[in-house]
Amino acid sequence: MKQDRIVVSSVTYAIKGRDLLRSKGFKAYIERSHGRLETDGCGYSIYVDHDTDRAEQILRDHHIRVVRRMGGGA
Amino acid sequence: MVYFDNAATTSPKPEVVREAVAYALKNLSANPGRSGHDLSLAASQMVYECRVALSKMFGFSSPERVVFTLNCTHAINMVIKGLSLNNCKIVTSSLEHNAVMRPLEKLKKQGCTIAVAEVFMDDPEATVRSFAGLIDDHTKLVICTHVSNVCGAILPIEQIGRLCRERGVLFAVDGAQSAGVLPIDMEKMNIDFLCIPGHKGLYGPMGTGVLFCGKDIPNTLTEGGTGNRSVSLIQPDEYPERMESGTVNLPGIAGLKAGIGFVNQKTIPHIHGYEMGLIQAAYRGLKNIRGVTLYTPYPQADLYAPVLCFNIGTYHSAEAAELLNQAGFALRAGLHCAPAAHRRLGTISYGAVRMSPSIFNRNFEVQALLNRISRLAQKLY
Repeated sequence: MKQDRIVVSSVTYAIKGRDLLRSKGFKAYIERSHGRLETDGCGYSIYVDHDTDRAEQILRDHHIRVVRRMGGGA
Repeated sequence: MVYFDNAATTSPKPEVVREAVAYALKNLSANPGRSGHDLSLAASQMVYECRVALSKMFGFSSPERVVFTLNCTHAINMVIKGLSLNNCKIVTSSLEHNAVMRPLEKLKKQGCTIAVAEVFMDDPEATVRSFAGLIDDHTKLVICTHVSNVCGAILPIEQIGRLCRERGVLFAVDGAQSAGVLPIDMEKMNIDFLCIPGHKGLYGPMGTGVLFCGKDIPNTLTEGGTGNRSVSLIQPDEYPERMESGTVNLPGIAGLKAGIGFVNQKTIPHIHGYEMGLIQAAYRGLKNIRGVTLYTPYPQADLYAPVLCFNIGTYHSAEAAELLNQAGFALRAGLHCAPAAHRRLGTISYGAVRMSPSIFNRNFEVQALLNRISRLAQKLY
């Protein structure tokens, strides 16, 4: 099953979050969000290879603003 | 040309800086924080790495609150105007640049009063007492330079920062002459807002400046495209994008990042010690030239940064600088955009000639300058 993406509020948070998650052992990548533009506007998301829930919590614990989760599909 | 005008901007720029700018123009020429393609992400990565490098250098724990600006003056304006100061008191020093004094002057129209604390060149404790005596319940902000751009005097910002913290007052520092030359630790020094240029002591390109936002700034000077939350017409509140509407100076930031690396490699204590050696040699030489006027005591390294001002006999400062220019020496004359400091030094009428070396200057260049000044002075006597 594909993992969800974690949508964050800016490219700066995306890079900071990606580096943070990599330091915690995740394989993490940044991509441009292709979600709901009418609600989120443009943004960036972080893809992790496993345990997206934990990754999201780590980001929140480090004050990286998470906008929402975006489904990765099956 | 022997360049002694590094307080205005450092020259030459290190080769690594020139190469980084050229590399960025050739290989990273995409808009950071806007697109999702690899080139844009690579540009964003480089910009972020520069924020991190700046955070480490200045003892600041939040790289996302490192804001790129056009220059130091731009950063200072973002603080002074962004804080929405009305009907309050602001304390500053007697050695300020117009980058601070002009925006403060404008605040008088909003009912603010500006109190000027006297700086005592060789007595930091007296300077701190001077600030302490002016801070009261109406004071919202203390803003001052770290180093005078006219005479090189260092202000005791760590003690002033402690004072501000104790009194619950915001503290902003103009690091125009100290960034890259003196150690600055925002956390240790209790600095809320640090404004610096990228193109002076950090050896980056012109058109680069930085604002470190330790606290929120309620109002923005500029609103517009930030690459995030585009659907909303309200300026986003995330830093740094909130403060960086429009495309940032990517080649400049690439050069600045290389400049930070250059300074880190040389180390700030080495740079300060080396440049102060040149200034002290110049001071000793000038002291022995009849007719030369110096405006500070001997510049001890713990009290001064490498900036020295003087006059030669009855020459107007601009005339003296022009004669030196004709002899191949680049120094700046006049008021250096700091009339307050010149009033303090008693040089408001004719200004002064300012010498400011960089890590690239050599002692033989100082001696050559002294010889030329000596010849100019001899013509007067």
